[in-house]
Amino acid sequence: MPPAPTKGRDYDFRGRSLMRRYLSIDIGRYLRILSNVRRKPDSLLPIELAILLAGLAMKLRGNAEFYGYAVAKEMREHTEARRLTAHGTLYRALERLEQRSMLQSHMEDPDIASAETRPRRRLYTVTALGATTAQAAERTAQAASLFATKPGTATS
Amino acid sequence: MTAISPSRGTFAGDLARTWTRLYTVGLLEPVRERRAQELESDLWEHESDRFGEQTAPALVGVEVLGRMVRGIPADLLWRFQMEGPQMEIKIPFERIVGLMLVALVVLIPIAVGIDGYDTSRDGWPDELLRMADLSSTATRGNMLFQVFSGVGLIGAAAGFYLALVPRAKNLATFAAFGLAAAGVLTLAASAMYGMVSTLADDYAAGRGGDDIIVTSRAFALGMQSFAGSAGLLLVVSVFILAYAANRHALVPSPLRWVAIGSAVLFGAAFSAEFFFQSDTAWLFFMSGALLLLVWLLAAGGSLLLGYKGAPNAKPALDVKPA
Repeated sequence: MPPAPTKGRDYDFRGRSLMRRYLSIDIGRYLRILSNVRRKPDSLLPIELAILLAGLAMKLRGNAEFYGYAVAKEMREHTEARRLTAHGTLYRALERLEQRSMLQSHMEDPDIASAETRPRRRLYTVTALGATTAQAAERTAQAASLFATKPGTATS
Repeated sequence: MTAISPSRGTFAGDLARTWTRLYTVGLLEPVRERRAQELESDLWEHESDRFGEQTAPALVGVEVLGRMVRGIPADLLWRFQMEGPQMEIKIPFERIVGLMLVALVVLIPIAVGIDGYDTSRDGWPDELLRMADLSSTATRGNMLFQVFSGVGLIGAAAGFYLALVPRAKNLATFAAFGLAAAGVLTLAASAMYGMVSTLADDYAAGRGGDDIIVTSRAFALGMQSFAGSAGLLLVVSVFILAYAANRHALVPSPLRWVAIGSAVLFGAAFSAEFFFQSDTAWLFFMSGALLLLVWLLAAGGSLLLGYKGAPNAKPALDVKPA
């Protein structure tokens, strides 16, 4: 194989190939802090706790599986909020819970969706880990609220 | 293919779908698909649910839009986390050069715009009074523009040098030196403008007489000579850039005639001024300057839009490794 030419218009004055040159900005390098933020394994964000509790409430009513919009509606009713949770917030939290094995998900049978002439749902189930973590977090929250309202501890 | 009953659909729903396609662009297809499916199902359920309650479509649209907008920060954070450490933005250097050429179209007129005062011995006192009439905001604004232009030219010099030095070491060095020197001269001229402006205020307030006129006129003459030198350096630098760009087929070859036309007009202006003392010198000069700005805009625009070189030219932009 002949040696690569080192002169000509395709090479710079030092004989280096003039491959396409880029200004490369490595955003990920600066965003590593986001993925390096560690949380305690059993800690839950308020939105995560709300999702798990809503999922458990629906399970008690006989709906073991739930989908995004249904849980958003359940959370709104449970918390007496005025608005439904935002798409981005909801689906990011659902994905996080699934990654932490507190939820499991699968796509709905296409025949069912087809029969009801609607898009397929992603169906979520609260796992045993999700249930115990949510119940523990709720107990902690209730204890904290009891302590806060206990006579003699109020600051007013 | 599943037949899906069309929900009445809202414009907000279409916006949410578009936004999802946008923030998931470039991700692996299963990841994109999952997000799109979840949103599609959510939108359908939301719209069907609310339309079933006889809610006005406009209100449903507002609800959907609100959910989309409130979720944007979470969507962006999710995207950044999906990208992780490998998220990298690559901007080809040619596009940067194009952007800088277009930026010069703005920077050059500001840099040379400081010129044009009547610095003759008789006319200067009136000129001082006119300057004193300018509000302090206008004066500060002028200085700010000039500082911006000077710093911009120095930045452009560094950018051109870094981008062009692998292709044309000497030309890149000359052009960058010219631009950087013009930037420094513009900053100096700006400082002198500030001095003249202060002296003009003193003169108008009666705080001084002939001394102020002499001193301020000296600053004004210095300012004009700096601005003129900056203009000359800028013209020469742009011609060097035009030569380098044409030689390396960075821009469409017909553009060289624009640069040549500009050079001819500047030559005509010089001849008319110094050999024939003709009044047409100014017309030639302005036409040459205009053509030079046209070249900057056309060359910068073609690079920004990703011009790949003439069909029969050497592949100067997208050279394959040996």
